[in-house]
Amino acid sequence: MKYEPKDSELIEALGQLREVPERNIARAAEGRRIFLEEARNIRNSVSNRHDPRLKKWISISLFRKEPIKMPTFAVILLIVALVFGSTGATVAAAQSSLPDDALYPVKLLTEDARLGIAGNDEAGLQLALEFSSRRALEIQKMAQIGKEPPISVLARYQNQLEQVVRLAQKMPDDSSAIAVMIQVRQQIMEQDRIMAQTPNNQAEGTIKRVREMLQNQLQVIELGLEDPTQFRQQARMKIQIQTMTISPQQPTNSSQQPPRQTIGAGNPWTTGTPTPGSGYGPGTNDCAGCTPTKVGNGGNNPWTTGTPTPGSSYGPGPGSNPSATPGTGAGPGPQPTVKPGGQNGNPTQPGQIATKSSPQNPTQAPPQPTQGKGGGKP
Amino acid sequence: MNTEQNLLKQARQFNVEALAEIYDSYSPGIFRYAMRFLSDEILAEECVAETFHRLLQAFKNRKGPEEHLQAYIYRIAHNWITDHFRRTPNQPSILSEYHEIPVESTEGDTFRKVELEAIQVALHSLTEDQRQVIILKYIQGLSNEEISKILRKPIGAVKALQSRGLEALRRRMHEKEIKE
Repeated sequence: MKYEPKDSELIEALGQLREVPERNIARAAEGRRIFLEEARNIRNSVSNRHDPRLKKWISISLFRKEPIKMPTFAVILLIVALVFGSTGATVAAAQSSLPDDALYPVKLLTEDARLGIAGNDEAGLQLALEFSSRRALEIQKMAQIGKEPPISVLARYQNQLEQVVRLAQKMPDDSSAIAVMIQVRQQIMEQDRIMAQTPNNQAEGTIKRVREMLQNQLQVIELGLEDPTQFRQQARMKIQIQTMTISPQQPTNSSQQPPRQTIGAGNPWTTGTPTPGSGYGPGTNDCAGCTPTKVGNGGNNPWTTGTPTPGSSYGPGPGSNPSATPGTGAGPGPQPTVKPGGQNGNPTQPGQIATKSSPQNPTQAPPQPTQGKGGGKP
Repeated sequence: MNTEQNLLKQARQFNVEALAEIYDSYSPGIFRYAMRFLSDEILAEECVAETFHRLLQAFKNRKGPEEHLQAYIYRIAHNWITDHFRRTPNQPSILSEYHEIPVESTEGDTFRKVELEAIQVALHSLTEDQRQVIILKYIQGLSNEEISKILRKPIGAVKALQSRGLEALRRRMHEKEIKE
């Protein structure tokens, strides 16, 4: 070894560094005691059966080498739960929301969905009644915190009450109609009581309008309770009118359309149900000055007479062929309808024809109305 | 199954007798090893305590050595010492007060003191790996095989470190002699 002598000297010198002072016996013993004490504590706190316990946890964990094959049904169930679980929580949270909350539209959507899947008229009535009570409480809560409820909420409230009345009219017999109307009357009175107790310093006008609307609906129900047969008959008449209006093959002879002559002519079922402030209400039955619609002729329609578009077959028909199909140019011309808010008409359904109404505001505007006899805007 | 493996198996089950045997076998050597680096009995005892505490924690966490227990323990101790010097970088290493020569010393004692100081300074100038190998081999008295297990290096690498370490020591001490 090249550096053997010198390395030997170095190694010898290094050996002198081996000398260290003797370890303090007491400290050494104390260190040993602490070490063994710690070992005993660990042994007592942790069982020795690590492996079985560890294997058990591994067996139920997701980090297995070969994961458990999940049945198809369980997979579908899991996906449904994941997708709709959060939605369900949102919907549940939305149920207590107020109109100015972000989740309020969810609440309304839920209501619409529930109404849409209602099995029958009575179930729908019960739901509409429940939702109308919600509107009353919402209006009350908003008024309590000094906020005025939006118009859309009031409109929805009114629509739901009207829906309740319509569905009550559809009851299959008088006894069931009476039972339902008693319930509806009780609910409306309860809602009116809520409105009466609502502080109205911020929403005085709103509360007043709501109470008027409730009173009107209550009046309709009271009339229904007095004569449930006629109450229900009114619904059938409405359905019949709607069917006649929708069907293009209906007879055009005016003598076969008695229901048309009654609409808007002081109908007792609609007399007391105007929308506050909407101009919607009973007709005056004073239509002497109105331009009557000549059904079945097609030659006197002020919006179509004299304004044919060349080649379109649009224009006055000959008026001599009552069985002709409308739109062919040989049958009756389009009949103007009256929008809610007309002075004389009293349509209870949107789009319903108003045979005794003024032809003002026709919903189907002609291309070039040159002879506006009705005086309304085309 | 040899004795060490049997001892380790019992130690993993926190058999107090096995653990006591391990402590009694290795704690004196760890203490001396720590003393040579730290030159402080209290710190050296702390190093011993921390080393065996970490050993218990390793057993508790289902880790620790399957064999070569001594190398494992020395590695823990050396890591602790290294961390200690990182925490307190200004602490002198190797140079120890217990090598101070008494006042009523002879000429030979004085020469020995100077020589020891020169070796200590030279040791301090080595790289960490060289210094550790030199201390483990020539001061601590371990074999190359044991050192290779402690350092997790091949025996050839351990021998190379020894050779370069001794050469560096000799060169440093020769330079000191020229200056004097």
